[in-house]
Amino acid sequence: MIPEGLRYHAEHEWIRQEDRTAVLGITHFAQDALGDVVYLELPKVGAEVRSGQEIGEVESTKTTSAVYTPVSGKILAVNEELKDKPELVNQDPYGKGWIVKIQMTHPSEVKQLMDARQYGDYLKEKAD
Amino acid sequence: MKRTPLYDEHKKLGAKIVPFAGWEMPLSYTGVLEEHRATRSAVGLFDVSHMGRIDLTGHAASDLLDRVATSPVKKLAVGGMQYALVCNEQGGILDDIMICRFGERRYFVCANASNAEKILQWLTKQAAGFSGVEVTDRSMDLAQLAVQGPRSRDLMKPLTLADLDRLKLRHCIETKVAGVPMLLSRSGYTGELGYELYLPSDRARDVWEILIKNGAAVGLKPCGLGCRDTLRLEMGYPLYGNDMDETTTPIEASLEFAVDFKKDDFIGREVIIRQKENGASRELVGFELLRRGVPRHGHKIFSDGKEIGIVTSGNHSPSMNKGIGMGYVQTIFAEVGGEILIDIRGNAVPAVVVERPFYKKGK
Repeated sequence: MIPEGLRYHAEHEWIRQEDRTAVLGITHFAQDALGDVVYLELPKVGAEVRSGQEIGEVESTKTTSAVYTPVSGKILAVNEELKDKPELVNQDPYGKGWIVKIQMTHPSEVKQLMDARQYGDYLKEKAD
Repeated sequence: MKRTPLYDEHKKLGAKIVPFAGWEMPLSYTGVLEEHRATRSAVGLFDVSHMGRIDLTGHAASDLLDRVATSPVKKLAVGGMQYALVCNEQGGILDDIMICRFGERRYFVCANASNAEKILQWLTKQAAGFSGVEVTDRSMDLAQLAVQGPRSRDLMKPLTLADLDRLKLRHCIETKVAGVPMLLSRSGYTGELGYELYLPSDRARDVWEILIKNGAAVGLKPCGLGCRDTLRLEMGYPLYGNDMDETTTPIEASLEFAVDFKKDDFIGREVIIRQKENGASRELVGFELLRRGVPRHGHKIFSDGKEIGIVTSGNHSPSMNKGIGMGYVQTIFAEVGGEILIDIRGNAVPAVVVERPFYKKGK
């Protein structure tokens, strides 16, 4: 359930690094906890973001949850498909449900994030 | 935490369980949207055993209810059912309830889970002023199911000898369903054709299993509290604790239809009638967002830069695919068609006051 090769943030976002670009989404655990996603408030392309900052919101039938970025940089793209199909976040959180792409100013920030095994342990700790 | 007799069934079906009013209840089984759509298009099966159930029997039962409830209880015929408010002396709403008259001197009250104990105590206290009425808590020995949706009659008909074609909205009957004796009413909290079953707790599992099994053919889905909330919101039905409480009156909560102003006496009458004549300073309205977003309980409402009210219920409407909500606004802003702004975490999202229900069948 937790793909290898991605990096994970304590607020349940994942990052896939492609050179200086980071693709960001929310994890399976996050989408499952939220329930059916019905709307996403996304940042503007070109916006500057800092690591730890709230960059958007995911609205589900249950609640509202903030999306945080664990890396700094500039928003390169937002997933336009989510406007009509927010359910992609539930159906394919690590693929078609990606949320934003960020041009990173400090790619080394990615290394500070958890890998799949660490994130798995983190979830287990939270469950206990 | 209390559990309904169907707790193990919910776990078996993989429900997400959440605490609600002191109960461990299913939030959803397969997803709120899927369950919502099943109820609108086929059948949803809900365990609502967390609600309060109270029997009132005796020749003074109708006198007691007539004094306690805002509705015209004396006009209720055997087999009838009324929506009513229970108010305190200040006109504040203690609960909204359903009253069933299932015998000459036998009434049944269904109260909200969060108010079950309060209403039981209130009725018991008020009963002291009457001779010839007995108030009995049935919340634990009876379970309660809601079978809701356009196919619910098709599902229920083969299971009972009761003439469901003739059972009108807000009517009840003592009958058997799947061989189990129970009180059955045509009622619900979804806006769909539907039934509520009040049955012995120790038979709840048998009936649940038969409904699940037979329901497969008509597209039944077990449904949790999540879609119960989106379904009731689309109908504009207020939820106690969100849209009304002891600090709001029936006039403010736009529930005048549940008040019989011609009745000589009921608790809270003076304040409510005075407010009807003089007008209330705030009123509960329904609104739709004019752009994407989801209003939530607690968001502030603005007009021309001034705070004019607060959202008490809000969500995404699965049927209409837009944000809808209810809230209290100053009365001058309560007119249908008026534009207001909902402060969604710092963004002023335009909305328009609309009539309820939000969702109209076939449109």
